Amino acid sequence: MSNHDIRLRRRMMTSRRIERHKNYSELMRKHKRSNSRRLLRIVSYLAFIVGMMVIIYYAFENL
Amino acid sequence: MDELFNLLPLKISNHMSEDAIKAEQEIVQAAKRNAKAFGKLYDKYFEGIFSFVYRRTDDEDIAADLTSQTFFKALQNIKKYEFRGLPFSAWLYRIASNEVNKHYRKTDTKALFSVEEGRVLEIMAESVENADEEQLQLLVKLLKELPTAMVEVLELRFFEGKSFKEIAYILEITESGAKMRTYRAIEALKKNFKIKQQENE
Repeated sequence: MSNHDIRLRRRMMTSRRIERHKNYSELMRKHKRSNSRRLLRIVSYLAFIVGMMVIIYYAFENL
Repeated sequence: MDELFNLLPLKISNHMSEDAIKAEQEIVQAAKRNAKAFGKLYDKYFEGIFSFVYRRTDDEDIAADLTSQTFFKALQNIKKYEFRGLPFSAWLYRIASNEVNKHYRKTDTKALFSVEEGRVLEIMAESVENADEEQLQLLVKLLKELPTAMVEVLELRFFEGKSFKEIAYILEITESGAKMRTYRAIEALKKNFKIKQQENE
């Protein structure tokens, strides 16, 4: 038993119609947003590590 | 039914010369350094990737989303891209194919191949004088009965005009595996059609 269906398409998708879906500026925006989020995640992670080290340092200092 | 059926390669060859592939690599290298250079690759391959995804989904909006996601992933991971002597498009098709498969897993629906009647007629034209509705329906029925993995290879070979090397890379199988799937699919079609295959690599 196959796990797919086959449809015969009468209408060809024209280049002009496909062109309408092109949006390079949106792709770049998405890429920049994603890079910013990635950077923010790294900075947050580093801040968390530094914070933990400071807490541990003072915890041992007070012992 | 025992119609002669020519499996012809695409009239417009999608194959790139080695020089063109190397020239394209310069653009890819530029895109690795600066995302803005990716625009040339986006413009060059958007239509091809959209058509491929549309054929695999038969839904314009889904095709637009998955194509957009394909280029987004390509842009995000371009630094990891390794040149294997194939056009850059092979990598894009690989991402697109994975995105389509992911879509079907997520929606838990049956995979779909929406083949252009015009292209099917083009394939049949040389041998079947009046490729009628009955023959088209028979072909659709036979394609439905084939395993999905075989149809994937046939689609890339006869609707996208890809070489076996590219097909192997796109589907993450070996080149001999791609050839084997094609020949097995053709063998299955031979039960109903006389197949005359024109080889090109």
